[in-house]
Amino acid sequence: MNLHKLISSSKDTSGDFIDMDVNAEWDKFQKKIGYTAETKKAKQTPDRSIIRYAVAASIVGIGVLIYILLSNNKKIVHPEALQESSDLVIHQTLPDGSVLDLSSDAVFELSNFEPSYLRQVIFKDGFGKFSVVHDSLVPFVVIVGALEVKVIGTVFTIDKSDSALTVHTLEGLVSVTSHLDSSEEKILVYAGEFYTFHMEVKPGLKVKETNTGFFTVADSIAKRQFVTKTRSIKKTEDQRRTYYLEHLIKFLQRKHHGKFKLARRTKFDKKARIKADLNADLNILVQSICEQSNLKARPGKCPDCIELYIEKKK
Amino acid sequence: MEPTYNKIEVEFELWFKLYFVPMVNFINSYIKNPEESKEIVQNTFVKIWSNRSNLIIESSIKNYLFQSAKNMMLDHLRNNKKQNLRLDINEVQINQIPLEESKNINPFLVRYTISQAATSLKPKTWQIFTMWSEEGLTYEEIANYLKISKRTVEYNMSVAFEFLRSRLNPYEIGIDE
Repeated sequence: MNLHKLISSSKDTSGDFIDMDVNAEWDKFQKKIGYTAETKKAKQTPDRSIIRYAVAASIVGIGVLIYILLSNNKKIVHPEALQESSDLVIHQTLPDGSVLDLSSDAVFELSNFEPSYLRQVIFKDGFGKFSVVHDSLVPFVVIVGALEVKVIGTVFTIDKSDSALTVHTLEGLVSVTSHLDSSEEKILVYAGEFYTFHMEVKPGLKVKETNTGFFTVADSIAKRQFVTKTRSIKKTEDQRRTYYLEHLIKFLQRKHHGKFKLARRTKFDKKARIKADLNADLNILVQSICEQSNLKARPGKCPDCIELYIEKKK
Repeated sequence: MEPTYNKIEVEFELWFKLYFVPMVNFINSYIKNPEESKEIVQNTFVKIWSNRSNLIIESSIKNYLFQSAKNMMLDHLRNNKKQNLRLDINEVQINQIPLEESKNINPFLVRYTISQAATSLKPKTWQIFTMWSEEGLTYEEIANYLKISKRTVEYNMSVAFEFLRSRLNPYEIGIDE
């Protein structure tokens, strides 16, 4: 149904609307169920804080149980344990100054690493700690299968096995984007959090560390989305990634200097998201941009030069 | 599909926070008593919670919750009838109301989402949206009244619609682009 119609019909049919504080009602509900559950166990009258503590403790308990059950096939190594240990045997400084500390079984590729326009590491297996140098123009991207881990300047670790991938942010902020379907959902992993993506039909879980241990925050909506995504894991073999139009044009201007130009006074949507394969030819990249934005291509003044422009409305 | 015990525990809070207010309004549209409506919906959730280990949801959770609330309301009315407290509501009539999503449930979900927009959107966006939705003004009329460009009105309306679309997403109403 159309949203306009839905809004206008809702006014006619639902009458006067009563709004209320849903959190207060949730507290009331918890009190109701907490009261009946606790009075059977406790001899003294429980106060509100005890009920809350009991509910919180049971949630943590359930979380730990789910975490243990889901990780029974894979030994999830707590990244903190590896951080300073001798397991990180490979120490490599990248051309941009970023530092990689890798475990002995780590497999990675640096074929597309060019500090001026593309900082990309293809991480295939193992465990790695990345200390990334800040560069707001050229984001540091780690491709792990169908996932893209993008950072600007931070310290984080990646633990990749056959069945799961764990990203642990030690400092700063990391975004994990899945390219398994068209929605390309972005998950932000803040400092101190780690995110586990299960490659099998298991839900994606965001695991938070606490002083008392760790517990799993299972987001029901995320669960459904990840189950759908994991089903389509083998269908997608698209090499294209999504970039902001602004970044893509800057990349083309650097890489194809002299062969690619943007017409003067061309105002384009900088934040338009364009799917493209950076390794493709200039013509294919330009074609992708034209298809997905309002920009058009024409031969430039110099020989073999392509120019992007916006057609003026008549 | 039979949800597992853990899944229900995890999702229960989400269900409560998504559906409590629309369900209260749905019940209140029949019995016209907000306090009683709240009590009925609270009792519905308590009942579902106590039966959570045996819970079998054949249709969607949305239909299940509204149907449960409707049944709870009928029980409540029957009890009141016995006590000769309220006889003005025709139970048979209520029982015959079909629980069609588009006519009977969705309007309450949409109104709840709009009420959330009041606190989440910027005051200017909310003002423009209410002028359009409550007063029925066109974009041009709003632009003239507020002395702003039509494009600004369009932009603010698109922000409001995007917000509503994202908030209506969990309800699985099926909105056209």
